[in-house]
Amino acid sequence: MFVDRYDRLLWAVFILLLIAIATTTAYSLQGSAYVTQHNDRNLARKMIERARLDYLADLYAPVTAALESGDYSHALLALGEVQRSFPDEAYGQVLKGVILSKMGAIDAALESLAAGIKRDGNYIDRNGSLSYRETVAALVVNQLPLYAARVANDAGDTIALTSKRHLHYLQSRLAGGCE
Amino acid sequence: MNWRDRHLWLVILAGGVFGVLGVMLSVWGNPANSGICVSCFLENSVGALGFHDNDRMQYLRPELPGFVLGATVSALIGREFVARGGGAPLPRIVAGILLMIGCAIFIGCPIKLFLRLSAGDLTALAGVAGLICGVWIGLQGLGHGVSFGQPLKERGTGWITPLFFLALLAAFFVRPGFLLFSERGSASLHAPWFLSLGAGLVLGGLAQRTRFCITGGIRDGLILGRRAPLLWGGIAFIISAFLFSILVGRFNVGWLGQPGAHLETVWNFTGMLLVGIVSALIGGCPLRQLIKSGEGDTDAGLVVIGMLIGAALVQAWGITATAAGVPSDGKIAVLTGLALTVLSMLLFRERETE
Repeated sequence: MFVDRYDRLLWAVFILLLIAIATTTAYSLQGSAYVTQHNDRNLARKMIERARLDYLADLYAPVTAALESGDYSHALLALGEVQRSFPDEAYGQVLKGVILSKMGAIDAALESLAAGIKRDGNYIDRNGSLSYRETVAALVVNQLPLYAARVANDAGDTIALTSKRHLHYLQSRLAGGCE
Repeated sequence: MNWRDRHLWLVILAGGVFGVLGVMLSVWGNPANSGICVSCFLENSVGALGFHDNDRMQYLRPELPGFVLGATVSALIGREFVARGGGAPLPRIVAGILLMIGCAIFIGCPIKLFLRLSAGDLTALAGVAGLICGVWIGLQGLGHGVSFGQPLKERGTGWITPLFFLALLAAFFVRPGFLLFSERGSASLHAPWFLSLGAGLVLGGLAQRTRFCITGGIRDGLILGRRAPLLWGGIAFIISAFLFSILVGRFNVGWLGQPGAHLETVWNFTGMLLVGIVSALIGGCPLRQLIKSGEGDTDAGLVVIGMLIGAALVQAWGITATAAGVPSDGKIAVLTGLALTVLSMLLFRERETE
């Protein structure tokens, strides 16, 4: 690749371009503009996330207040109001699952939790905001042996089979791994 | 120059129609000076498909399927649809990416370059100089034996790109849930779909029939001078766009305050320099690659795939220039693009002594 003058010219231009790339990169990393440009994008993402959390907290405030005070039937009613406008919203489905589990309606709770977490895995993440990881983990640990026994006793129990499938899904999500 | 040549007048007609529709698509709703811009349309379309997260640049532009399918129909009617390809596939994908990097630094493809200029945007002058220099450098490379190989006839593969764009057009109408559409920014500005699609089909057909290509016009002008029909097509394009810009009150001559433009002259030049070299080496500007892919050329189809990847990358990595100027990553990307192009000229050169 050094046969003639054209080859040598191309090599010279190539080396000059490499120097130009190195100089531009060094100059860019030195200045504050480069850092600012990338920080801006991360900041924008943080702002969107914060806005989402604030919006959800605001939207479900009556539900979470009733849930925290232990008034589960009122929490369910308040949730129904919100879900009339946003029927499939993930956080609402997770909240419904949590409330139903507190009320002892485990099959319905597992269905809601599985549906909500399938839509948005953030609600079960270790570092996720508005995470219900502990609640879901406790539910899986306590209920899985019971449902396994139910299915073992009666293989035709379709409700138990469905709930066991939901439990295994939640167990898999709790275990982590690459999505 | 044979002024009685029917093909010459067809090329001039095509150039004229490109100029008129380039201006009118802006009047009908596309962003200012971006009535036709292949690179902008690609960036919008990959954004709509979810390949980047710039929510100001997400719209499935019907002009793109129009260009390709218009070319396919025209090629079928003219019995010019031939499945062919096989020349250096991977470098062609890289070439497509480099084309989009160059366009992103200038903010627009060669068609938009001349639409900007004919609307009075003087910042485009550096781009014109860069593009002409780039085509000249590319021609020198070809003259010294740089070649990506000759295409061979293939079976069936020529339909892949037209079918892909047909699927995109279907997605535009069906609107599956994964498609994203901007509600603000330049991608929210668009002409009514039937005008966009209709213009795309007409222009695609005309471009296929006449081989209309901006860099091709410059190339032929440099080689053949005034005898090159494509050069006259390019001139007709500029004149008609200029006259229509005045007619619809969109002509605003000056350097400052131009839509979709920045004042970094060196980088305007460099961006189009890269586009010029790559286009000359692979045989056509971004529009020409779309048209060739529509007439069965799978080599051009690979360039189109590269352009789709490049369109996503320039947005996702923040390479693309804005009215604020060229970001550092963009400068590094365009220089890297030039270095890769020079390297490929060394690697793909057939030397007389070999």
